[in-house]
Amino acid sequence: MSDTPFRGRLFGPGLPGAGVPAAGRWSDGGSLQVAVDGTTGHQLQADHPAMDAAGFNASSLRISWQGEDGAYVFIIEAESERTICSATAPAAATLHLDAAAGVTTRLERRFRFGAVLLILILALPLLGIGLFIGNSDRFADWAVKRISTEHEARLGDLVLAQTRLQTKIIDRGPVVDAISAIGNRLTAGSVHRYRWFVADRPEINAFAAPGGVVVVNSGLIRAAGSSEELAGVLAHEIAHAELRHTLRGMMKSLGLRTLAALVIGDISGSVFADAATRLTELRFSRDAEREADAEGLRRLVSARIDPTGMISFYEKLTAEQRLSPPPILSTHPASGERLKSLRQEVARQKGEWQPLPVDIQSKAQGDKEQK
Amino acid sequence: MAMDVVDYEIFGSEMQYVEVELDPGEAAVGEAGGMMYMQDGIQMDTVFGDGSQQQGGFMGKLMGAGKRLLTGESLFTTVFHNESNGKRRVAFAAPYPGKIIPVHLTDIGGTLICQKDSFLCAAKGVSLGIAFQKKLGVGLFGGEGFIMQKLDGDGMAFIHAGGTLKELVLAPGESLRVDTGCVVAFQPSVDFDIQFVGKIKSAVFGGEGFFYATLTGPGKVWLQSLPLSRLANRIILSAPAAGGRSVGQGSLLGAGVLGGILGSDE
Repeated sequence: MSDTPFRGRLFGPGLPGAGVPAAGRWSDGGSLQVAVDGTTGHQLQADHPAMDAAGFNASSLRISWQGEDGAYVFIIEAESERTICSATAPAAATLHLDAAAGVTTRLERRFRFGAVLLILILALPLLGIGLFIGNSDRFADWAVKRISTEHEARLGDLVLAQTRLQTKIIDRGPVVDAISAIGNRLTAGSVHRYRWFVADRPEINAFAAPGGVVVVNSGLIRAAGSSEELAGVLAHEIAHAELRHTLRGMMKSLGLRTLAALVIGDISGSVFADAATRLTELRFSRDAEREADAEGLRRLVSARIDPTGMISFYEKLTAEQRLSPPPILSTHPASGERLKSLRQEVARQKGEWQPLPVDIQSKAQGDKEQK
Repeated sequence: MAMDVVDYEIFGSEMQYVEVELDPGEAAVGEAGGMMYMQDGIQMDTVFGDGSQQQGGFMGKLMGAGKRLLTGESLFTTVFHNESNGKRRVAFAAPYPGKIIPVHLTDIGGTLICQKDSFLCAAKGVSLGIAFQKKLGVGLFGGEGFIMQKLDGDGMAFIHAGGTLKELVLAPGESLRVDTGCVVAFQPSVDFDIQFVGKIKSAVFGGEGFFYATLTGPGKVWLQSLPLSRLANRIILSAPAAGGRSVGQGSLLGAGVLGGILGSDE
């Protein structure tokens, strides 16, 4: 056996309560000898000491034995001293020392596992949001598939009723007839029953609610130079309805809001959360606009309506939107990039176009005079 | 590491402060905001971290400061340096009713594990670190949380806690059951664990909660009689603004329903 001592603290009868520094060593006979620092004669001997892990975090080695005058404990705290102790220990003690080291290691491992678990739990809602944003399209597809056409139509009625409260809606008249004449050509064979309305508002806008409710602002009709231009806009809005973009947007926003409420808490009170969810909603519709352009163009071509009207109307919009908000904050993608790809697509389309029978401008004019 | 030896005197009984005497060239570190007064000739210097490793480099300082933030203390510590030729005094005051206890770190082997936020001041050179409570059960139910403070060095350190502080010596194997939250500090040789109170009835109606903290010797432990949170809880409960009544001393009946009806001093 080696003579290398290992340092620790000795506690026992007659010693200070806080212990005294001492050095221990294994004797050739396999017993432990402990000498208190600064004393030469005071040496203790333990023949069969018990060994276990103890102290704060069980990070110390405790060697305890029953002396003549009471219980003694020799505590080895430092990692390096423990190593010396294990290395020089007799074979009989090694088993106990390994068991004590095992207890310390297990505690450490369990603590790390707990810490990692805690961090994971804290990060889980954020992870959920990340996953949702990454897979929101798949989620929206899944959710939208579970909504029947009847429900969609009922939703459209709701939107229409809401719009009626805010603006004057024209249900019938020559303009509405003209719009349905164009629109029905574009929606031939659809599962939805389309209804056409004109809103008395000066803004150049139109929207398609779920379930085939299409509302066109009178401002847009006035801005449209020809029936083909109007047909272009209608095709775009119909495409939104057919591709169920509004529904998808609603599903995404609903999911995102639920998750955001989980993370931030009460979402209604937080301006930051509201702005954050809204920005992402806009991103959904930007992607959707491109998709609607392509689908609208396809519908125009199959209805044999000249698709150049779509382009010329967008050009008009671009000219008017000189002072538009930055593209990321607008619900519509920057018209420039959209126009570019659309022009390429239209140039590829060849065919004979059937002229539209109705002259939208004279109808609108007549409508105005009636009022 | 050469530590500065400081002489001290503790004043007051329930709301104490400690006056530390610094020899020329000596220094003490205090918790930021803990200084009460200082004599001429003492230079105050605020350092990032705990001031024990001035040559540690920027990252070392940053780590030290981060640790202090974890234990609920300020990012900075203040070093009080005696630049004069004579002995000078600086005083540090306890922030709430309780006792200040001096601990000579050499006597207990150089390391003291204590409640976070309990450090008041120390001789310069004592390092303030964190000691994670790695027993998950103790961290959750032991009343001291997962983060404790570790004072390392061989100088004098002063810690502070609420109520009356009691220093106890535990013999090898001797065990003490303590109400959770009352453990202030202990030597690292002491086993800190928790124990279920034993009976559901006691756990629910006993008022001591579900667990005791158990301290097993050998070593020294320091206990506080009144954790600050308990005191704060009682103060808020009896504050008139929170629905408490402004009554004098009395039994439960006196202060309660009967006292409200019969109390004539209002």
